Amino acid sequence: MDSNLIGKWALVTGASRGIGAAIAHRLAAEGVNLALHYRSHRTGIEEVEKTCSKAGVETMVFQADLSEPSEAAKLADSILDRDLSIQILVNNAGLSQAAPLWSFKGEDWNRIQNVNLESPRVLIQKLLPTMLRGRWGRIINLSSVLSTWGGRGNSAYCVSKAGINGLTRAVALEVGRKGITANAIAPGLVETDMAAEMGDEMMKQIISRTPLNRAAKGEEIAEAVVFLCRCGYVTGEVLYIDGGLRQSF
Amino acid sequence: MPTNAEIKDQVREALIEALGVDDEEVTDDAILTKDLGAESIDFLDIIFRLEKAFQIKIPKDDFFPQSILTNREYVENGKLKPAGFEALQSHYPYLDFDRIREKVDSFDMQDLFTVSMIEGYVKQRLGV
Ligand SMILES: NC(=O)c1ccc[n+]([C@@H]2O[C@H](COP(=O)([O-])OP(=O)(O)OC[C@H]3O[C@@H](n4cnc5c(N)ncnc54)[C@H](OP(=O)(O)O)[C@@H]3O)[C@@H](O)[C@H]2O)c1
Repeated sequence: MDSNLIGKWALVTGASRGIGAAIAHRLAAEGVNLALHYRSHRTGIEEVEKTCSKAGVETMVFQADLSEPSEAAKLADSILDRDLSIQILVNNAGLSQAAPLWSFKGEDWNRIQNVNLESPRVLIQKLLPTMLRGRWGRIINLSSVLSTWGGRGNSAYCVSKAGINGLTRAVALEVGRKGITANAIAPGLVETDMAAEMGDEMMKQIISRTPLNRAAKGEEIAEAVVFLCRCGYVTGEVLYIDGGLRQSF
Repeated sequence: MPTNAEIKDQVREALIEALGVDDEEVTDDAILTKDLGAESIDFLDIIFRLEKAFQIKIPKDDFFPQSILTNREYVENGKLKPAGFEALQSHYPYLDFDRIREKVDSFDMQDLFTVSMIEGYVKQRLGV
């Protein structure tokens, strides 16, 4: 356990299942207190909270539908109202919807951008002063291999993830001298509900192109989060945790 | 209510901590960006420290007159128009207007953010 993480507070968005839940568990094991965000999966977040509490850290749960434009600001305000000093921000909540561009409805497009890109932007802006105060902060944004590739039928998602890479790099430049790092993690295929939505056939295809010949576990992404929390000399990076998938294209 | 001397000391302390500069660099006329190396993120830090030191809430706009300086009604070809001067005077009374008057033609807003301007701002906010 790295003592410099013990007792710090992290906000993990989308912590009710999948990668977010794995990140919460892993940070709790490092002694990090957790503000756990979820949208609708109440039993999931309760389960995650219970496991984290058992690890001996403090937890607090927050609900917000981040596809609504004003919700991210409200989420940040309720965290600040409770005087939680968030020094690790993990923008993990994510939404994807597959449809060809010509059939994409404007409101669906906006929901995806709001969850995947706009909410991280708002949360970073609102929580930055707290990191600044402690002269220490870690901003970690969940991106995707689809941030650098075109994904057929995934235009909204690709745009949001390419955007998050840009946001990460730019923010890193602005905050670096205050001891704050900003990085993105770009997974390939990870065993979660989001991946399952693609269907078995698509998943098989991706796995067959992945040199490690399997999907990642959420824990393997969480490991990268802990690395980025610990290592204060990596910033502005997009870290691909994709089993080598990018190399085979 | 803090005295003038206390305000001066606390403002200097906030600047020293936020910018990591030496005591003697923080002279009244020192320009935050050009002389003390402040970048945009530092202003957030400075605001933060002043808020804490003086128990006041500082709207970001108070330190960033962007809405005036990017408005074509007020600034044209880098030159501050009379209407811009008036707008600054009404929104930012703590700025050093003699200095602005001297240089309306090659006006650089950054030059106004001096140590004494920050002090002036705090005094105005506290009604000292
Ligand atoms: N799985 C993959 O293969 C993969 C690959 C690359 C990148 N990623 C990225 O990794 C991150 C996590 O993905 P995952 O696979 O763990 O996804 P997931 O299993 O579908 O879980 C998504 C999480 O985001 C939350 N969420 C969804 N819509 C939301 C909304 N409108 N407002 C607030 N929260 C919302 C969900 O909350 P509730 O459950 O409470 O509704 C849930 O906690 C995402 O950013 C995703 O883009 C995943």
